Amino acid sequence: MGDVGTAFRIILWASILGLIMCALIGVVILIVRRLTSSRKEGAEQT
Amino acid sequence: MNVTDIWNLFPGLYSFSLMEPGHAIIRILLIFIGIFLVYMGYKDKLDPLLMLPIGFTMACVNAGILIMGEGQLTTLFVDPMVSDPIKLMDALQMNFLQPFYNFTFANGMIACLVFMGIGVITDLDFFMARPFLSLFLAFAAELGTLLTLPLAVAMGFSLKEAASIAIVGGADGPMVLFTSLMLAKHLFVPIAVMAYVYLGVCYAVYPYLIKLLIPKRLRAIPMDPMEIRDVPPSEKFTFSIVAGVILCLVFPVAAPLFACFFFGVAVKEANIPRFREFLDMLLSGSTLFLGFTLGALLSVNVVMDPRVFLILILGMVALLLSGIGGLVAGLIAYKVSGGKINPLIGIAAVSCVPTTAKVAQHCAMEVDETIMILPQAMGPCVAGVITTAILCGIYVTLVPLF
Repeated sequence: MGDVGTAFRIILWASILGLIMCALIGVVILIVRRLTSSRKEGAEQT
Repeated sequence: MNVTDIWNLFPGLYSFSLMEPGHAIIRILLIFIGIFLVYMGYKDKLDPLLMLPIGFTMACVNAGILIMGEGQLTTLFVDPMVSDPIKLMDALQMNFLQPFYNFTFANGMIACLVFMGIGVITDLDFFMARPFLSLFLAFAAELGTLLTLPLAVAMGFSLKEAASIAIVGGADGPMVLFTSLMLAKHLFVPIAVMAYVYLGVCYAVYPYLIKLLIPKRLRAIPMDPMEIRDVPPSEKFTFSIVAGVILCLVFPVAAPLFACFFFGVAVKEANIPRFREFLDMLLSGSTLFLGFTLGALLSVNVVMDPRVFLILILGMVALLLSGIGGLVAGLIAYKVSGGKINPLIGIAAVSCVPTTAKVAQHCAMEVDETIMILPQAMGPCVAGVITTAILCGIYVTLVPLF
């Protein structure tokens, strides 16, 4: 049997790591958006 | 020829007399529950894609018990408990679903194939257009995945077992299969079966949860599909490759799932018709055999495990908490957006692509038949897959360290 205190520590860590990963995914989307739009603009100008 | 000899001609019926009365009653009950699930699937009250194969095989496996060897009661479907190599060889030659179970189920391959197929049908438009809103809703809808862990520990499960049960709150069958295989292989069968049965139940229970938490006038808030920014396929394709590689780098234990899901998305966005058609068929085939095998695993021997009842309760609690988390986050999004966001899209954040998004659309249409929120609901729904995969990776990595 596990310990409830440890379980709460795990979910605290999981929440923090989960939020960081979600933010990272969001940032990746923004970077990809910026890159693809700048490439598109570059192609249109050419 | 005496009466016993006549009985022996019908081993399915004769086996009842060899069982303890309690087992025999539960066996009969399971046959009827299987038929009931088939009926509910047929009537579209529960997800027919899962309920039809699960219910039918569940009824058949409990009906088709026979006597083998030294009076041993068994079936010719599958024996999930066999691990001794010699007995496994016998089982592979006798049980028709045994090869399928051992070579695609017990190693998580079927979960990965289903995920690849889900990737191909996943529309990333709203998710890519409003990533932070989608991810906020999806993370809130992991409430059950988080809170069920200490709850299960308090009920006597070990940390690894509790984490495997808690991931049911993410409402993604492949994740549940994967987590229980990595952390609690001995509970794999009951946890996996309960998870898939409950995913079907999402279909039936969430509408009542929505009616309880979201006022009728808020359910009718229209969301213009034209508001969604047109995301070019190149952007979605690039994201699928980059996100897949980054997530595999951060959580190598869940890398097969991430790789399969984002490969499916990449195939869709690259628009390779042959691959798309194949993966679409693969999803149908995998779902069918998944349901068929899960139903075969629901024999009286598995269900009589006393811990199954606790897993049943915890699975339901996890899904309800996740639904509540998603809907509360939907209400927050509604307030913050100044009333522009329909809070129903919060329930879609629970994931279970595309069932919860369809539930959100169905509940909105009950209030206003012309309303269309499905495209917007698919955003948090997809984000829900990603957040569940992230939490699956975190649990599989983190829990063994404690």
